[in-house]
Amino acid sequence: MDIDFTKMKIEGEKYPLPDECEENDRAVRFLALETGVGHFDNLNLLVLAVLFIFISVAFLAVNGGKINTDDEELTFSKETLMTGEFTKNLEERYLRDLPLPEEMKSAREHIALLYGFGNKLSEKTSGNYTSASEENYGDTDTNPFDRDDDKDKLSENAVTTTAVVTDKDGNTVTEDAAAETAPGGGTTAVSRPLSTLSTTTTTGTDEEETTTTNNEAPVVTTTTTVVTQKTETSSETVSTAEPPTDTQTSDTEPPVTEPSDTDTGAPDTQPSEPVSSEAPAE
Amino acid sequence: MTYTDLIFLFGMFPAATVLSLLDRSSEYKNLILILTSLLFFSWGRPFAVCLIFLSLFVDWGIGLAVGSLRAKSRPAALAMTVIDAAMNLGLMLVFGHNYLFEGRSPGLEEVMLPVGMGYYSLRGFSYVQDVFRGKIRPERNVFCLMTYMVSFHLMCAGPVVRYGDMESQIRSREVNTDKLNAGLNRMVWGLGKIVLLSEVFAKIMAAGLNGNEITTLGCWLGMLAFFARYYFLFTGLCDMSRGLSLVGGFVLPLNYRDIEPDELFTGMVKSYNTTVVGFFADLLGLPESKSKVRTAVGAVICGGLMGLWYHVSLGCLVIGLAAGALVAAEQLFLKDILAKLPAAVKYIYLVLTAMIIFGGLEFKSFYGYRKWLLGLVGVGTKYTLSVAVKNAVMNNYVLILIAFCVVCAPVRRLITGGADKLSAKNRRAYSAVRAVKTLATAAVLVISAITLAASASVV
Repeated sequence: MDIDFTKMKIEGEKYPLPDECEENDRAVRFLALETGVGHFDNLNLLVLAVLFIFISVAFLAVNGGKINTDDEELTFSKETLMTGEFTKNLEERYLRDLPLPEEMKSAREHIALLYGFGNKLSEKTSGNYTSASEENYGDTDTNPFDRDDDKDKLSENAVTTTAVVTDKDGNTVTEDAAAETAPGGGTTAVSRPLSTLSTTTTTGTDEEETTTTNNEAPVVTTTTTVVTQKTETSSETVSTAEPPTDTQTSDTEPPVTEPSDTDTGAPDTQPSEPVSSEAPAE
Repeated sequence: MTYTDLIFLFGMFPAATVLSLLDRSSEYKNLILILTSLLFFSWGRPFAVCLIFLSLFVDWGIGLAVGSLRAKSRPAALAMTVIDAAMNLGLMLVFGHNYLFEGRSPGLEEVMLPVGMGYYSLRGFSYVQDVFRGKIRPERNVFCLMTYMVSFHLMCAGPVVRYGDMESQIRSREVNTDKLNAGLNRMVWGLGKIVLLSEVFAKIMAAGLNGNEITTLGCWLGMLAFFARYYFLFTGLCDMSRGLSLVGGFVLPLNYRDIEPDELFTGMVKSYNTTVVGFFADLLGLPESKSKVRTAVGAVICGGLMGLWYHVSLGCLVIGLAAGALVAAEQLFLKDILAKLPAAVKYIYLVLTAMIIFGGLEFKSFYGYRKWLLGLVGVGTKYTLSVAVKNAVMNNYVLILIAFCVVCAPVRRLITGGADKLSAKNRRAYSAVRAVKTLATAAVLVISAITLAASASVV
């Protein structure tokens, strides 16, 4: 082995070899190109560079068919720059204007089908997407294994309802509207953020009103459906346990349904037993 | 701004690369790098720029002072070095924030700067320390030091490169197609690790370490997923950092390496964030130590310092000291006993010790940690496996298999060795292997971009 190496060394000394590293590198690159390795490296670089440029231009130039006329938020001034407001708004605008958001979401779900069993495609919705920051996987701030020291505090999702109070004659007594603590006329003891509020009020009579308000959601969907059935009842006591199943059709006019866009006003009648429930925040 | 922000990946990074390629001179490249780095830092937090400039000039001034004093009065030079250490320590304690354990600093959230202040402080101090020790000459050109200090290539996950290793590259470097190609490849695979693999383990971790349904397998899988998540997050950031540097013309040292069972727990600790471990070991003079006892004591102190560097809290200090104590025990007597064991047993030893010691990072209190430890052996758990954990694993088993191939060095070597053997057969086979590699890299880039865009897009 040593003899072979010595022979090679003697052979090598016959030819002048460049000493400088740069020249060595050049020689290696030349040889690589000669053998075809360099061509594949260049091809690889070309593919990646083109992809990078294509995605960059697409994300910058294509804005999903929307035309932004509201540029007031992007005011460049010393104050906005120093407070970081300008860069923050710039990034927000960049993310808002990303092209084809629904298709991106759909593509991600289709790609996820390749990751394993059981991944499903969600139904195409009207487009209330959650941002990445809202997707919470293993947030270290709220470690579920640790002791819950806030047991005394009311839970965000806790709902308290008042028991039915009846007078000595058995009639249901309703409280004043001022006694109600939750916004929107419910009896929830926990004040909810104004951003999301859903109140369902069911009365023993054949009147039902549902009001859903989502003030901060990107798309506000507020629907109020009022079903009014004018009934003549002979009894003063109103059954509150469950809605009446027997409708006096002979004395009842046909139901009238009035869909309206925004109606958060008080119900037409005073509820005899208010039951509040809150939908979890979006 | 972080490496995985879309506006960085497909906005700032391509623009900075194209701009820096317009001129061959290193001075021009340094200028572009400084400007883009300052934009990177000041994104949403302009205060960071002021802080960086302030501390940078202090480091530069102290470096010059130490350089001139060390020949005349060594105590004075030492005093200046200590002042610099105190300043950088203060910066790290107040503004320190590490992406690996984000949001866990006690009560300093308002002033925290998400710019990797831990790495920044270490770089600043390492420069002055090296001047004091005579390893490098003090830098007179503040722009050269600025390029070293504020370069965004080095901020998110290191490595902690010494100024002596960077100086020649800052003054003169070449960007060629080889570097661009290697840099882009490394960057894309790093991005894939963070966006695709790390997120999968985040889901499994969330399902497994769920206090509402504690299960035995959930405790095991959840904690393994915790390690896998941070492994891929860290190595992905390191790969992106190295890739970005190569695109900019810099060649940086590796900041992680494969875990070898023969090196036991000591080797595992050293394989993760290698440059930072090296810095602290060097600071305590451990490489030069010939006494076993001194090395062992130094290992415990080094563990405590690293724990505090990761996160300033009592829990991290205790965990760091525990890790240091095990390293010390291995150095003193355990190594000789464990060396005789088969490789499989060594792997089990590594997994168990890592889980028990570093698993504490996931819990805020000892109560939670104890609950999890009991859950590992089935105490306090009703069921073996929850539906959530099963679904999280089954929904992503392909990515888990890929992750296993990436982490497990023997399997990875088998695959890469097979590809090399195949490509060595003939020219056609070589072409096929290279084409597959290029397509795979392009696919990772596209999938990562779609995933990030789908997560970030708002309608």
